[in-house]
Amino acid sequence: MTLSRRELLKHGLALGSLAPFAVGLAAGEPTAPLMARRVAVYGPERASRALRQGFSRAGWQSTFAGRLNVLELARSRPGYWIAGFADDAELVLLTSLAAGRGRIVALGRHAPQAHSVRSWKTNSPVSFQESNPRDWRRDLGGLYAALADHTPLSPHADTRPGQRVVAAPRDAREHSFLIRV
Amino acid sequence: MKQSDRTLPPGVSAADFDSALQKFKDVVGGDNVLIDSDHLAPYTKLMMAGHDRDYIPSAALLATRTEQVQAIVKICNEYGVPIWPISTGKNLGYGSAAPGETGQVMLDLRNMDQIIDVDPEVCTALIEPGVTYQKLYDYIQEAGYKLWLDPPAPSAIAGPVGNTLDRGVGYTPYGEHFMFQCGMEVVLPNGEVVRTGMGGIPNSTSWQVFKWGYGPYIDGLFTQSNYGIVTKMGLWLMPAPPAYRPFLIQYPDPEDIEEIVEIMRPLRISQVIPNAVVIAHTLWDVASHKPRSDFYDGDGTIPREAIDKIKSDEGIGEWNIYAALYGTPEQIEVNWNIIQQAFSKSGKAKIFHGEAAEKASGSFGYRAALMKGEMNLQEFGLYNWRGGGGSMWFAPVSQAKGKETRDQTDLAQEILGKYGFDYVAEYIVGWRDMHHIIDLLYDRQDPEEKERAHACFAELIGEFEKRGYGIYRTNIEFMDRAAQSFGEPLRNIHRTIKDALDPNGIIAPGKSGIRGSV
Ligand SMILES: Cc1cc2nc3c(=O)[nH]c(=O)nc-3n(C[C@H](O)[C@H](O)[C@H](O)COP(=O)(O)OP(=O)(O)OC[C@H]3O[C@@H](n4cnc5c(N)ncnc54)[C@H](O)[C@@H]3O)c2cc1C
Repeated sequence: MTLSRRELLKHGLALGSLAPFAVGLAAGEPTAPLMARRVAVYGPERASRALRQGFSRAGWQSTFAGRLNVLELARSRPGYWIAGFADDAELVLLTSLAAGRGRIVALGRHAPQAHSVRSWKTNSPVSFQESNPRDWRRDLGGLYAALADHTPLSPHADTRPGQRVVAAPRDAREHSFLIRV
Repeated sequence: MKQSDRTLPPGVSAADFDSALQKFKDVVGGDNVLIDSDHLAPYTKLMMAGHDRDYIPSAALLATRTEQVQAIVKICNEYGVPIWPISTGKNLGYGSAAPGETGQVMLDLRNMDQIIDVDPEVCTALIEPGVTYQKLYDYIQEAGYKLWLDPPAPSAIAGPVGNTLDRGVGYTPYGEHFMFQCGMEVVLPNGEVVRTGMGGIPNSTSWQVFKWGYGPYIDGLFTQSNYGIVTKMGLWLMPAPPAYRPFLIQYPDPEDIEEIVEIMRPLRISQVIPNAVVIAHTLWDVASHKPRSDFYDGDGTIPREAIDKIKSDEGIGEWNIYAALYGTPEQIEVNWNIIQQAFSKSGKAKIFHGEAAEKASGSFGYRAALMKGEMNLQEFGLYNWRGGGGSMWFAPVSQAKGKETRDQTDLAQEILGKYGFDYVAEYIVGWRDMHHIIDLLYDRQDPEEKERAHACFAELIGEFEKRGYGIYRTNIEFMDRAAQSFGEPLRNIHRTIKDALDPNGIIAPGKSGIRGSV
């Protein structure tokens, strides 16, 4: 959520209007399809595209929902899968919004070649290693699809044996999430 | 989840907890009793430098009616299950929506969100705990009432009940929230319901207009406390003034804080400036919309040269005052002249309003919104300053006296500097006091940095206490320590009241350092 002064004005934040962080969705528009195996993906466009590829390889349908729009999400009907990338400020808003109305299935922190993903379904770290530096977001999409598909998961279903669990990367600025709101 | 992984309330067997859970389900319905870890995850998200394992709830209950709260409290007494009530659960930086201790059950009242009454004549509201500022704002807009709210910075997503119960503040003339609260409905630990103030009189017409009622005034007992669960609250709303002028005053140098406070005090006490004014330090001012890495990439405390560069690059002051005038255009003009004269004397201040203020500061827009009670989330940008999700508000109270403010600033900067953290701070100016709000931002993912932040916060409390400065509110990790500052006699009274009202200690044990004797 590093908005420039001009962006702030454009989005109405600096003027204190009700306009939320993103203007990708019209008020009242559903933020994601209600059907199973469909996910709304938030975040910067390029990163989201790669994540969506991972989901679609796993047979999921995805829509690009633009930048996280926390106030809009707060108003949406329950029952949607959402995933994507957020900065620190958005993550605080998103996780606190989920209380009482959503399931935080997984959260990840990402820095180049250092990823830590935690499943809240099993309350444990999940092994995740990038296959190559360019495609890690796509791999992550696949992992998130698997985590969502296996809900409810057995305690082992979401860990890929033989892979190293990476410690939380320092200075990770990119956060990923998979939430059922 | 394996049985052995379960978090149980302290001293409660798995079998008893299962029985209690079944009874909770009978009261609120199965869907409103949350026990899965992905459902409970949002209630474990901490920003303070405590151990995650110390703040894990055993369950969360979503209640919607006072009778349900009463029934829950009775079940808790029967099984010895402690509950931690939250209203909208956005106590970010003070414990978020997490329990005070592992094993407590969260009693989440976010779905108890009826706006029972808004009276546009006497300018009052009666609301339930789950009502957010946004919901109340929308209601007032739709009804076309000329009333303003007074939100804290997380505005839209937080709520008047939870904020007032933690004695939070906003930025209009109604900024000291507990001062503008009037009447409560409270479920006591034994399950009885009490209405405070005038509310005990059947069909009372003055519950929301006369605070004191008859006999001892008890509303304060239910703030920052664990003596009851508030299920309704009255508050006063500000009539929208005919005119409004937010303004900005910038001062260039660290020592200017003394001059600012000396000029500000009489203006605030006499109500020439009527609102809860903010005096924001450079770093807070810029952190709401830019990350630290735009200016400085090193570890440790941001150096003075970098602060000076921020000031010149961004065109902001060392101290940035956000205040406003309210009233008729004529009243505003008179007071504006007084203010300009007062702040112009030394020649150090730059004074702006309107478009010039917008241009001068990337924070003016959001400050102007908050000072007129509008919803805005820009201040969450503070979390991108350093990143890493760690934040603790260190919030000592200062007298509105220049020397004292300077002393507090120097002391805080010295201690934060020793531990390698930045002074991201503001003063919120009350009538005679100021809340010195320092956001201790750190990387919570880095164990060493987390430890350091913990030590730093402890030292801040200790060193401030030595100079006679106490904090107005704190996070759940430091509640016992903060209570210590205020002395044993006060703690004894708190404990005596706890024992009398809540002998089984079921409501929020540990809140403000208060526990019963058992
Ligand atoms: C960027 C940022 C800026 C902030 N700025 C401000 C600010 O300007 N002013 C300010 O005051 N705070 C501020 N905060 C702190 C905090 O977010 C707000 O105070 C917020 O209003 C508190 O959350 P809430 O309203 O949801 O209350 P809740 O979290 O619901 O409640 C707070 C506490 O009150 C008690 N409580 C709540 N409901 C009940 C009940 N029904 N019965 C008994 N006890 C109860 C509990 O102990 C609970 O933990 C800020 C936070 C952030 C992240």
